[in-house]
Amino acid sequence: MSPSEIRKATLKQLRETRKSMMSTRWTLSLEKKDEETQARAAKELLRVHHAIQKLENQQLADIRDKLLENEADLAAGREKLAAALQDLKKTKTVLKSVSGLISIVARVLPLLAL
Amino acid sequence: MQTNLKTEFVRLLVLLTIATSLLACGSARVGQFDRFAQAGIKFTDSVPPVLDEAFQTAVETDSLVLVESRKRLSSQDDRLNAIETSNKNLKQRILLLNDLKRHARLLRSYFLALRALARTDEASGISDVAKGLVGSLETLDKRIAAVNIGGLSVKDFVGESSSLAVAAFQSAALNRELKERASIIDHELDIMQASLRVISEAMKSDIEAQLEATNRDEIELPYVRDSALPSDWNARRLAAFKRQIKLSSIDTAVDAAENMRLSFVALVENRLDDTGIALLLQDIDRVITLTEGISGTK
Repeated sequence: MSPSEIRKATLKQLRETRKSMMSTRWTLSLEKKDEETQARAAKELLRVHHAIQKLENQQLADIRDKLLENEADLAAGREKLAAALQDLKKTKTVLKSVSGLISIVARVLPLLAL
Repeated sequence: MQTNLKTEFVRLLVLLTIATSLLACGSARVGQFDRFAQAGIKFTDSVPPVLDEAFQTAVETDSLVLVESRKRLSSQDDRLNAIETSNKNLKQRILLLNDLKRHARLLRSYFLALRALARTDEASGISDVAKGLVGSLETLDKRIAAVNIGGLSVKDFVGESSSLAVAAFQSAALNRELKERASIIDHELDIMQASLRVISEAMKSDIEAQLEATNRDEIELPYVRDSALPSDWNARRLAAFKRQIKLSSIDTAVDAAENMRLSFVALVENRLDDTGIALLLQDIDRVITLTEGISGTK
């Protein structure tokens, strides 16, 4: 089993334990025990719960690290797409300028002919 | 001589028709990219609210456990250790979830850039300018206005073919980007799916712990103890069962991520159609209503 699979299996077990320690049957059985036993049970619930939190954080940290590896490439892709869009916009600007220039020439030529 | 000219003219017309058809395929491909990018933007928008809801659920369950154990811990030191450990773990959780949100924003900006290039507004802008250019040329030389290509004036023909040429440019640029980054995007969507699976499993577990405590306190203990049952006990019990059914809706975020990835594969294979996109958008809509559903579950 890989470390992540072991962690997943452990989490599953801990979560089931936490749920059973919130159950009616568990609560009723604890009510009959002395204070010391009840305090030990409370500490055990906290230990299980905090272990769940730590393992879940580890899972999220692993995923976060994998996503970070991709970030440079994603940013590069975004810039390339933006550059291609700029090329299109430049074409439009150039065409507009040429069109404007030709309009001026078309207006001037008849005047010169006179 | 006249026959040679006629042959050349027919050949030119055939070439123009073939070129126009090929350019038209570029338009369809650009449309696929546009639809996928739109879905990508919607999907990345849906992720932060899920992460916020996951954190809220984690804090609620943590508070529940702290209160539960406090009843049986008489030592102040024990109580202090309990809450300090919880706070430390939750603070780390916030940092991790914020990193995931930041990454979702980066992925969104990538889809925005993809959509910006794929949108046809730029194409019609250029074709209008190209038509204007021909109009200016017609003023210079009236003979241009008299020419007819396949039933279209030069102005209209240039307008249409420049629109298609832009689509071909867009398609080429988008396909180049796809070729260069296909494995990265595939990996990205795979990890996003994995992260949402982890988040949804944690949420389900948190909510199950809360429901277990609620069932115990509102339904089972009142039933087991000797005192009279609350007047709304039947209604509470029915509501408790209904909340169990809603738990399965938490997997919709994972389903949407999976569908996003399948749509990407379809895009790479040039078979992404409107039906596929419609199903993907439906999945994403379910994620958007997910957080409201979870609030109703608790």
